[in-house]
Amino acid sequence: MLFIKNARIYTMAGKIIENGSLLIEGSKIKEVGADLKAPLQAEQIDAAGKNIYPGFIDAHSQLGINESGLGAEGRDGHEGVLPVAPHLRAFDAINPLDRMFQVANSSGLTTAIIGPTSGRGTVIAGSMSAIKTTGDCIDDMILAECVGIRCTMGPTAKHLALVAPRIPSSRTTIAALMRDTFLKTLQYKAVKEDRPQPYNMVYEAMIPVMEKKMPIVVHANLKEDVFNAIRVAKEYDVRLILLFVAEAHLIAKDLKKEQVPCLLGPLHAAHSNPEVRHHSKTAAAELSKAGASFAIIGNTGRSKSDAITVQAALAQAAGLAEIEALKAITIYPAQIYGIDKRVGSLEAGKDADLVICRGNPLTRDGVIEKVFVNGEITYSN
Amino acid sequence: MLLIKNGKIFTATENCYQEGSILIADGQIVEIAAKIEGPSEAQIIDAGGRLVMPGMIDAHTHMGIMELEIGYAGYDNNEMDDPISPELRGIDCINPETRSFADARKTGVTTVITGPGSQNILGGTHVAIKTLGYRVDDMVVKNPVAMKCAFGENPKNSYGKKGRSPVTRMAQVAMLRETLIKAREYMEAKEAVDGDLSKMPPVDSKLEALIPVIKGELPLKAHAHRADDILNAIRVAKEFEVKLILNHATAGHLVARHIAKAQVPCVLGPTFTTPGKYEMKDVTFKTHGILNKAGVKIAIQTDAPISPTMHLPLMAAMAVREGLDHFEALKALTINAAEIYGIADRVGSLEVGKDADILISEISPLQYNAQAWKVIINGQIVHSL
Repeated sequence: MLFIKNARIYTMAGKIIENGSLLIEGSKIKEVGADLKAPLQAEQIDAAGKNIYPGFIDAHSQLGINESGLGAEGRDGHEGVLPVAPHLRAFDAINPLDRMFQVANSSGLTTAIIGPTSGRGTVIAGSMSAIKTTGDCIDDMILAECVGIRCTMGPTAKHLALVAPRIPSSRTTIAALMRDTFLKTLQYKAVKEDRPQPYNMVYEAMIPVMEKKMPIVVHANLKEDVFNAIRVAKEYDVRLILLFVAEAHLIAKDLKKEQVPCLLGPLHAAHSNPEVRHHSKTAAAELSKAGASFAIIGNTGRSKSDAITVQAALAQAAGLAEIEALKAITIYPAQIYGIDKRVGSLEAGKDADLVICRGNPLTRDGVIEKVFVNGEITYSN
Repeated sequence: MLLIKNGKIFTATENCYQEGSILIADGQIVEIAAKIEGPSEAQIIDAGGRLVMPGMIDAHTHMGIMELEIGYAGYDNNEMDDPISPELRGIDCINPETRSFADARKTGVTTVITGPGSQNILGGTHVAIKTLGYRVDDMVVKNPVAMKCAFGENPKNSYGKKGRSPVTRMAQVAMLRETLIKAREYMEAKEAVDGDLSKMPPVDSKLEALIPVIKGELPLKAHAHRADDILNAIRVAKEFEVKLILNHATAGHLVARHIAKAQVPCVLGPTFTTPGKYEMKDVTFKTHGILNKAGVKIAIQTDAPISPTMHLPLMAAMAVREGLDHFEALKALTINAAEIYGIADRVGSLEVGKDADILISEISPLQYNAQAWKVIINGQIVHSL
């Protein structure tokens, strides 16, 4: 048992606890509060003057799937030659020994949602997993094997028709492929419930989506692509999460009305192509003001791996309240992906994933002193 | 009949040497004892205190299938049309005249595992053969001994660069899983009609070839260098409850406890080589000792002719230098390989009833200047100094 005392605790579930304590037993949080007594046998850490946060969560990461310092040998996120490939699984391609995991963990990131990545030729790319950021065997690091099926709508998924005459080369085909897959899955499921039929890996992977047990997580930047995604998802009654959403700040009220959560970022990116030409750091602030659901992503592994707190800081600088910025990298992504029973806040019974910080991690001078994953210290400054 | 006298015998059944003699008749070992008075007609070899051990087994090669010395005409290693090619059989393209076999006999390598390469996710079956003979059918110890499969950079390079799956590791695992699921369905459909061709689903040679794998009779031999590829192989094998052999396992020392927990044997090598691709970057001779100490059964391979089979003992010697126990190294060269491939009833140790495949060393195989003094296969002297 480990007893951490005298800290200011940002639980992300209710008020900030001043002079609080937190008791860890095994891999779980046993108690959090202001008036806790240390059990006799517990080891103690005095965190006087320090802040404690839940371990940070990156709602969209490329850690270990597009590896650092490597070319094609380490690029395993984008199959590209299969337009519809929900049966591919990110966790089959994540290398825990990529050094970026350590870098990310030392910046307080304890959970990463890692999935296939966007690119030409792929509309439905495969399943995303929630992964703890320490370990040498991916099977032992999995928090949730599948938290969503990753899709791409918009120009990124298109082949350039003149260069490569392959589908999809237009947005009409992208939407058509999604509808086609949904419909064929419904038929496969109906037949399967009625009589034996040959196994189909693609439709098997889509069944949880049609049963609303699994969301689709759709890369959509432009307003029209966002609305396209919403239309298609509504038509087949599937759960939708939007990813990147560079124009979210322009349609905040619509996103609130449609109740579609948005994973925003990376906020420091350049206006490097037509899809992101209007992207703005105000996106999170605007969604927060409108009351829409959102999280902030770090895209760790691709963007700098210690950037998750900087992303939240940029959103704060653009008008988002500090506590909202912190929630956007802790409890909000946990709720959006349905892993909030385990992670995202400091509450009794949850995984002991936490960050001890001297100062504010959303400022340059905040120093992360210790990071815990599953009750174990994984980084110590 | 052949009588070997005055040997310092390593039987591979225990970690020790014993002084003694071995009597051979009809290609088999008929007696091992401290002293044997052989029949008068027996030919006598006086080992003069030299090491007498089981003939070595090169636990992974492409011998006879990949004839480097004649180029394209002798390159039958990888069919490059379909990443799922389990219906191919190594035995169908072995040329016993290729120089690797002569090299093997001179070295004391008496059995080799040979078969298709690692460009395909499923590449076909490997066979265990003796290194003596001119017709492969007569050389077979057991066929097949494993179904080759591959993870990592090779299938990615072969197909991904041509714009076909697998481009990524995700697709490699998905394609392997999909094929195994279909093979299981195919097997069940076939069993349901007692194999009656008229009632069966359309015959599928690829799925037919995988039935013994699904039944747990034929292990998957998984090409995996990197730690994550190793663990991917273990995950898939566990899911389908199929037998697994890890081939190469170059980064095995980084995940030794996971391999030990899964109780998967490793065929290590070719370690005496340049890490010419990223997935081999962690190559070290320390892997052997670390895995052995973790409780993993290891054997050694040259990948011949990628590296010459005569360097098989050199690789064991270098592993000993880096921490592998001396006797464990000798076992890795003999009985371990036999047990991994299910041929220990015939080869791999010196025991009564087993094939008389014997190496008598002039200089121990665990020295850099190893030299075979006499090599015996099926009771026949095939090399003599």
